[in-house]
Amino acid sequence: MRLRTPGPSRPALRRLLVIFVAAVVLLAGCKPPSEITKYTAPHEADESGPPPDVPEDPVTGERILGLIVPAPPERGELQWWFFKMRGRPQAVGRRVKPLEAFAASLKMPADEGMPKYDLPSGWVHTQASNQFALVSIRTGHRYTPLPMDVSKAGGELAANVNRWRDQVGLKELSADEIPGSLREITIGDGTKAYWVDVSGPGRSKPPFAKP
Amino acid sequence: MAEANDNHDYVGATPPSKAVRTGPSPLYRLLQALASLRFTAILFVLTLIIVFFGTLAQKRDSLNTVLDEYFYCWLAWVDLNLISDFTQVFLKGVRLYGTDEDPGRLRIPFPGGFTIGWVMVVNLVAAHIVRFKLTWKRAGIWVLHAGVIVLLGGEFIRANYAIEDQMRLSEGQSANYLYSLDKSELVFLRPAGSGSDEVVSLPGQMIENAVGALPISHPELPFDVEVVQYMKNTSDPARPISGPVPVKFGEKNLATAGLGLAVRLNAEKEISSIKGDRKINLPGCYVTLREKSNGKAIGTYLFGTAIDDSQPVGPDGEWRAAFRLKRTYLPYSIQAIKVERINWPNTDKPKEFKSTVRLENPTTQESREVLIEMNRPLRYEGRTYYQSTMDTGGPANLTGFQVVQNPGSHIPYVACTLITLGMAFHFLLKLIDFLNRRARR
Repeated sequence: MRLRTPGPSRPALRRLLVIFVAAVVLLAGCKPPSEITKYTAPHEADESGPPPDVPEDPVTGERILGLIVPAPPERGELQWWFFKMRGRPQAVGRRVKPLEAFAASLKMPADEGMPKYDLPSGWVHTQASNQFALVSIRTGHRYTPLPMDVSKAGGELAANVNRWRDQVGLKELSADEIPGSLREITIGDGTKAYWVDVSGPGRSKPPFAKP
Repeated sequence: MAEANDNHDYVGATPPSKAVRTGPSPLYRLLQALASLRFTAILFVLTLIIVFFGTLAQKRDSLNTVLDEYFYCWLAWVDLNLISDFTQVFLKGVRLYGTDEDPGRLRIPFPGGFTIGWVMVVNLVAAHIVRFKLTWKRAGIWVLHAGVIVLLGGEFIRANYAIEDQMRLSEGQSANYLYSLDKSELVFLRPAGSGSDEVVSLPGQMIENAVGALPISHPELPFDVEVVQYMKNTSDPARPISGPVPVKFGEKNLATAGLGLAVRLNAEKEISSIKGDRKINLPGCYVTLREKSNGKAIGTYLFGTAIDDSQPVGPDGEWRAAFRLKRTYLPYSIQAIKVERINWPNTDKPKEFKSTVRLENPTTQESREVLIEMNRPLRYEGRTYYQSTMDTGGPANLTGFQVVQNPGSHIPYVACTLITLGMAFHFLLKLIDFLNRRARR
């Protein structure tokens, strides 16, 4: 038995399909347009930091800027506080004045604690950027941070300065030549400290690479 | 016997006043056409096709894109090349179109979800008008079909009016805004005094549509905005942390000002809903800002939702700009007091996620602590806050809430109740009928 269902004639169905397609095409344009709106919102402080550092030509080399401050000896060995940042010459150069203000506020701890200081505008504490740093301070924009690492270690002054010189590709200086390459400054609590500013071609190979 | 006259074709002295109708009215014939069972069958086939392709499309596109392009629209553009993705499972290397590396899209127009849904409703209502008798025997069918219509209508309301946003807080942090996961905005901000900013917002969709077109100009905008490049996504789900990468010296760079001089964003593939691992698309753009008075270019800036911060724009630094996930500001704030993940004893498997928050509403003078946990959301001022994500592995515990505003949230319950009652009543009547017939034999 053939099952017949009630329904319209073929011409009626064709007309219906034409109306259906036309309706779809017309309705396809029915989307509310995007609008530009204006409103008031609570102010949010900008925590991104100073303007970002633009990229520099690698041939300009690297520059280390920092402070070396004497700390009380431990077990008969000289100790130093290091405040060190490393980057391209122009980017580091923009931190000279803020670092001077930082040094002017720096106070060494009387005992085992951390030094005290005022952070220049736009500088913020961050997580330590490497295993040797006790704390790091971001000195630039969030995306070009150029951190200054705060660390404490022992050794002779000449050995530590030569280590920094080696990191920017400069040759070692003798113990007699070292004082001439540094600038003595006085920090916030009157302690004499060393201002280190060295620039070099950069280290093209890591220290453990074969010569 | 009266005969037809040579001058007219009617019998008798007076002409008939009106033509006698010999069939149903045109309106009834239209209803009959709309009530056609053949038409119902065609609509079911269209539904199968759109669901099939919409499911396959999620392999490449995000869920929200698929919903917008296949279901929440009147006209869909179905990608026939998705069949190749399907047949790859059985016939490797055989494709209708494109290659595995560059599959391409082969789109055809097709009725969208809204069209099929509404035509189904019209078909069902017409069928009831034309064919179904209003009797007790058919009452179950009427109620059942009413439930189906309510379900379709409820989904239409949800598609057009429901809003889903997110709120993400670290322990101790407070927020008074929600952000969208699939909409973005380019905002220009300047201080407006009293701790507030004046914000002018361009929808991300407008930015996307303006690539290569004339600059966007509007009285509220501080600059004319010319879109140089738009990237639908700049985050790679394969990388644990995505974001801006440093620009190398000498590298070609569209940016001539701002943050884009130092960093860039990579255009990545749109994150599909099956590979996204809960990551979302983070769009970005390069725009040239021009002075309104003379059209002079101020600079080409990089903006992106992957970049957290606003940046100063313009010659005098009065304005800042950012491209961010679209925000909805609230008249109240929520602060995360305690964020807890509780594991099953002696395992790493989570048993519970709960967040204790403080709700503060200066308008109603409310300040109270509320617990939000799985299956116990916070319902407040038309929004429902569901515990959605939690990250307790980092330096600060993070909690994420999915915030839903849906005026049709109760409609599916009503619809399912009607459908259940209709089916139960109809089957009960059939059962009684059957038992009576058996008793009579």
